[in-house]
Amino acid sequence: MSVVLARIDQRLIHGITVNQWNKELHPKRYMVVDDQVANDDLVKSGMRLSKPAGTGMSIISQEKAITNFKAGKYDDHKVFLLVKEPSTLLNLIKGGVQVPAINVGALFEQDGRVPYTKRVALSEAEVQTLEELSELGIPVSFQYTPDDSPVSLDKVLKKQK
Amino acid sequence: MSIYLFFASHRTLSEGLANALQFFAGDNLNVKVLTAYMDNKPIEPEIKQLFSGLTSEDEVIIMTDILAGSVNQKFLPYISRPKTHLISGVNLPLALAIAMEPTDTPLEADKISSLVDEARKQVVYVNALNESESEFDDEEDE
Repeated sequence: MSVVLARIDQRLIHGITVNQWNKELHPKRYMVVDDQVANDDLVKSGMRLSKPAGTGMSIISQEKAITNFKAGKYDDHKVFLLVKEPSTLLNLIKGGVQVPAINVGALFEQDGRVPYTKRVALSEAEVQTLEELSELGIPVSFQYTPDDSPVSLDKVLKKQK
Repeated sequence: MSIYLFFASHRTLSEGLANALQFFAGDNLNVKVLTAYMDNKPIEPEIKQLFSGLTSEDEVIIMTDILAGSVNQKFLPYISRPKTHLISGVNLPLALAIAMEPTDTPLEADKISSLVDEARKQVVYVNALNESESEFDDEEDE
């Protein structure tokens, strides 16, 4: 299994992910896993515009991702996994995808979310999902760009209380 | 038929660019500005709002800051609208060139392409400007 990092970023592929994080992680493949986006050709073509030279970009559904990872399709290269929300990650991990660390990058303040950091707002359900992921033994930290200091999930949640 | 110039960027680059453009080109332009992510909210509603008040006859030239950015990506669905052009990585020379075009007829795609090509050349490393270009300094004293 070759995921180097899983990032939760509502904007998925954009400047920060393809520049700063690219320099930090040097992934061979950007993998966007999102059932809605995987079926939207226009959004997909917009994302492919941003693909750094020499990398691959997969924009696929959760089911396909689980199937492909299990089949060892990405075993020999580094994958930077991108999802829009914590629940997607939980599904992937429960489906057998191995994730070494989770980066909470950016979630918009909408749909009943409460701001936790400058870049991340979370709903109660999302907080629970993140805690569940953390209990699986995967480090969860908040970090928008690699230059920012990562803040652990515990610290972020404590600050709010 | 009016020509609208939309400037859209992460935060206030667009606002600054529009401001500088108006300094050079005057206030008679139809300019709309989007400064994205001043708060932590999605920008689709703001984008939709830009197009309100336009007729189907109006031409729109959207200039964004960076190709890879989500601001540029979110405008992609709009290029299916007639006479709607999207340019990313805009610089002031390009904005100026576009603003200087006659406004009684819509700009054609090949015109925009050639303006973009010209504007690319305006990104210059001044230290390295070729000295041999001043070979033809015809300085006659008599």
